[in-house]
Amino acid sequence: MSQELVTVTIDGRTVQVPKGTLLVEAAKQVGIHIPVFCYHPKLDPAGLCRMCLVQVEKMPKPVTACTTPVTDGMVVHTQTQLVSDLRKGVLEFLLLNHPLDCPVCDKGGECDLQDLTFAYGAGTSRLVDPKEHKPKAVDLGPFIVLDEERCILCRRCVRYDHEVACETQLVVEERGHHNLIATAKGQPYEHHFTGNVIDLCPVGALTSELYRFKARPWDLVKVPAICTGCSVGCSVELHFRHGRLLRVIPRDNPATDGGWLCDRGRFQYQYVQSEERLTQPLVRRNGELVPVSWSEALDEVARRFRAIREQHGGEALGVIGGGRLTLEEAYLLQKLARAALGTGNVDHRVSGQVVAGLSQFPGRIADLSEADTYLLVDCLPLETAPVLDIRIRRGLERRRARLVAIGSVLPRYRVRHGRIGVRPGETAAVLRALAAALAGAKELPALPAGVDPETIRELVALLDKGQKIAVLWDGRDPATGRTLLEALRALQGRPGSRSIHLLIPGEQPMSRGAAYMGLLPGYLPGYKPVTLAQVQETLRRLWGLRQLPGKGLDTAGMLAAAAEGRLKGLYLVGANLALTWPDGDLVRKALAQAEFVVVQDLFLTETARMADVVLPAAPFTAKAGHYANLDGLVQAVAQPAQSPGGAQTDLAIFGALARTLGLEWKTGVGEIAREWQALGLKVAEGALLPGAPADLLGPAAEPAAAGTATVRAQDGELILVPVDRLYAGGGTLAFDPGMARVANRPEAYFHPEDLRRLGLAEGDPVTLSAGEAAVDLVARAAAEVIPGTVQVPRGLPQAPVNRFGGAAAVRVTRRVAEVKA
Amino acid sequence: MAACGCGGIQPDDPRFRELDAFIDAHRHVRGSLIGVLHRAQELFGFLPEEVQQHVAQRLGIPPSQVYGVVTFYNYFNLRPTGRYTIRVCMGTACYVRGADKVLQAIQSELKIQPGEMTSDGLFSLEVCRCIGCCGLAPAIMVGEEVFGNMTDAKVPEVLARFRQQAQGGEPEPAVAAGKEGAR
Amino acid sequence: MANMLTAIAKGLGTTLRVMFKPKVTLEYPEVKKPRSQRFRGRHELRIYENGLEMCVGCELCQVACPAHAITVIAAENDPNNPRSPGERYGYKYQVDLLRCIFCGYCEEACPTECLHLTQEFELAAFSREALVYQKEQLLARAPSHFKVPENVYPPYTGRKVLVAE
Repeated sequence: MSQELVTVTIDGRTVQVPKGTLLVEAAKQVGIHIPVFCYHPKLDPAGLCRMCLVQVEKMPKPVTACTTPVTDGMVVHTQTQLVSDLRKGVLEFLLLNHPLDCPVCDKGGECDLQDLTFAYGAGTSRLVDPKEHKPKAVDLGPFIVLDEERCILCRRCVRYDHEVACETQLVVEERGHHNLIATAKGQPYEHHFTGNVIDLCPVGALTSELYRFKARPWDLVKVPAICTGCSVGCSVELHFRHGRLLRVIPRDNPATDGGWLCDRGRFQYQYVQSEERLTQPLVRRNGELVPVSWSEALDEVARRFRAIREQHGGEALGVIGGGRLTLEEAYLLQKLARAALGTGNVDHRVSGQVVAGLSQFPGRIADLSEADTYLLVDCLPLETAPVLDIRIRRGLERRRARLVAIGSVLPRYRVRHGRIGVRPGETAAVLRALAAALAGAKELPALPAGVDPETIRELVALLDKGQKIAVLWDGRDPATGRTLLEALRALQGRPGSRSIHLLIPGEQPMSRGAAYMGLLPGYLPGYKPVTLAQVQETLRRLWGLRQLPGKGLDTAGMLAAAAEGRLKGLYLVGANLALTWPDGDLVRKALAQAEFVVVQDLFLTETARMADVVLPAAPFTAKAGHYANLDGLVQAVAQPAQSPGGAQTDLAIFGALARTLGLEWKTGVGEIAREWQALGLKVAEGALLPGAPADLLGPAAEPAAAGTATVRAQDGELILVPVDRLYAGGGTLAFDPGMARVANRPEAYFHPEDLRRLGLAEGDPVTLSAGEAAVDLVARAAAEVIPGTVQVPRGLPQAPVNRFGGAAAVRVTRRVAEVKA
Repeated sequence: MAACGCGGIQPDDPRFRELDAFIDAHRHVRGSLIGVLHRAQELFGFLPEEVQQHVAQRLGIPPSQVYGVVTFYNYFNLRPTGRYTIRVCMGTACYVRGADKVLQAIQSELKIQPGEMTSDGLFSLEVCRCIGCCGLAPAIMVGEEVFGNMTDAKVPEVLARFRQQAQGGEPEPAVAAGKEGAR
Repeated sequence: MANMLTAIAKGLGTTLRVMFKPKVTLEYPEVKKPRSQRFRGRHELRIYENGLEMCVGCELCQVACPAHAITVIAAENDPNNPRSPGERYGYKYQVDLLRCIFCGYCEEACPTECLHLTQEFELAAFSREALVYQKEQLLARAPSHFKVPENVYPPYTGRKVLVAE
């Protein structure tokens, strides 16, 4: 679209708009509403419903405003008798076979067809014959109920599926008045973005299975909020009725979601009012967790922590978690650890991710929509931060962007893209070769088996062509991170100009914010090193301390220390380590060895069951404060609703615990904001938090072994690769009744070749074993799995892959079906 | 097998190779899908799931698009058709003269519903609008032949004739019902 | 004297006259004063002649109520044991008669002519809770003469799966 302006007159109002603007959009600018059904600003124009017909002078027939670009001097009339008759006629046709079940329709009250019929339609229908009947209440997919009778065939859903989700599952079948919305061969409509068709549907044909008949739109109390499902931080609106959360819809925010939500963000909300939510603190008495009052529980926590501190010093205490908290809560948690418990052992990292945002090559989510080259390193954006994938898919299909994926897990895209598959741990070697090639080296360093030096040269040529390069990395392996930065610096140094944007989807929704707020060993809020005398001085004054604890242990260090008995007390906040930490055995040993473990969570998770005190926390719906997403964008949220039951927000719990420990802290949101100001931290709606310093990736000098495969498979063994899956996990996912239908089953994904070689078929029960660890799964074939490896979702409560302690060589055996008694 | 709509076609069916040759010749032509589907139906007689899947893969288009086109055009069959297709006219003239009774007689004789095929693969039954012989109402078509002035009593005779013909026997002279076809 | 006698006679005359006039006192509660056709009393939920509830749980009465006296929560019908024709029925229906101002807007809003206000006006109880009428108290005791409308709410046969032709 050029910037050339054209002048159009619509109903006597003159407006200048860029050339190529559609008539319906130009009319919006002068405040004239042209009714539409099939047109949607985010979809390509289709001109199907004919509702937007208007008269244009010098044109013989009425034209569709949604497909006609404005031209200079165009004179348009939208209020003539003819236009009014046309609208009436179109509506009469649309309503011919539309059932009159508005009273039972979930869309009633927010339905375009209802509204436009009221505004432009005739009072009665002239049809006397029975209406065409089509299937009602069809389960289109796990979350979507389709009513074919109500459908007006605007094809918004089908177009969305083709243009935005790039899935092409929905299709219009049959023809004429037998037209039906369907999927090919009646397969369930299933991908990660199906829920958006509910919003798009202008009538009640596509409705949410979870919201079905729960409320009418006018009942709902609508509160803006931020989705805390993943690190994208989409803007959502929460709809409550009688205090229960009944629906989540997007609020179009171009900086994050772009108007689309993933199914997990849209449909995972029932856990908020789950019956299994903890409502009372639990304390272990004679080996059993028994409910007690808040004051009793807090007294116990304060007494035990104080005793450990007095006996063994602050270093014997550790605080893990905070990646799910607001910025205020994260700040208060590290303050509690450093100032009240006197320990430097604080870390928010609970799943093996090292960084969730680096200060080098800062990227924004919106950059994905403009990038012409994508580089994915060990990253599956579709599973960890799904909404990012919509932008990537559209870039690939619409802007012909190029994509190269490197790593031990590779994504799946419909269009052609580069794939460099390696064994776990070898990614760094590929990147080192890439860095060398980009720096102009003649001789490339050794490459992992199966990677051709020619591939690296091709990749260099491809990156050279890119003007705007978006890089996504999973943030797990420090060696990969170091070599990646090295490669990107080499790329930056090459002739020609380009911009490079690095994004790291966080393992937890608020990882980046938690790190910035000082939930990192050795770093105070604002990534200031604990050794910095000036900051120490400020904090000592601010917190009223004589001595600030030094650099403590990270999560791995704390767990190891606890397992050895050096660390006595652990405080786990929103951290289900037993399921998420790569080495599950270490966690179990640490929790068993530690004298006193406090877990603060919504549910009685795998970790909470091993705790001495469990404090019930309130979900995000009860929290006010600021959230920071994966690109560092700060978004403020007012408290959406009260939390029922005895659970308290994390902020209130930290405050109460500090007071129980005898400290006169003021822990309101306002007081914390004043402390931030004193520390020079800029946290406000719309601010961008800086990324973490690259020091977090460890010393630059690396051992020669880094970049080689971490495990080698013996004959007949496969290398286990834990992968992220959107619906795999414990906690809120496991306790959400609405998610059970899509929750990832305990499945192992094999390359079809491997599956054949092992003599297995899809659906066969298999056992993966390495040493004493064994996990029972069901075999599945997936073409994107790298041969010689087997992928298992992380965090499955039924089959915790962390029994193997990360990547491991596993033996695959077919499980004999249990004999029924 | 017919119940799942797949028709039991194996992936190594030689007809796929013939189809592939056709697809390869037309792959780069825009809008070649309908032509390919015509050829596929010529080869297979109908378009089962495997064939649709194969065409989609070979042409590099989503299976849903192939499915949409196949359901759009009446010409494409999703189910196998018999050797003889019986079309019962349910147009106005035939209907008022008792086409529904004829249809019912055929249904009970062959034990199939419209849109289905007999288990021996001999007949498939369809209902159509006018076949242009309103003067002979009620009329039916079996294969390419038209039978007029049908009654439910004449149905077994007509069907028996085609059964015999299929067995290789000489077709009997036109039965009493008359082969007053509109040819 | 004569004046006094005339006055007594006049008084007794009135007594005599009224004695033979029809009585205006009603023996409430055995006898009740007739109410107008359009009297608006307690709410009732009608039942179709085939026994199905007419209420589809649309909540239009709830939104029409100026006193916020009505609460409706809908649910999906069990296809094997439907409560109402169609997919949806009123799972919970309560009227707070203490808030109700008997304006009749709810009756007007009802799209199925289910909800109507009866002639019943004796609404007294010993507790506030007892005056929040639940669905069981509001449902009519006997079927009405209304027939299930054709083509509006087809019989609900449960969820279907998408099947290819």
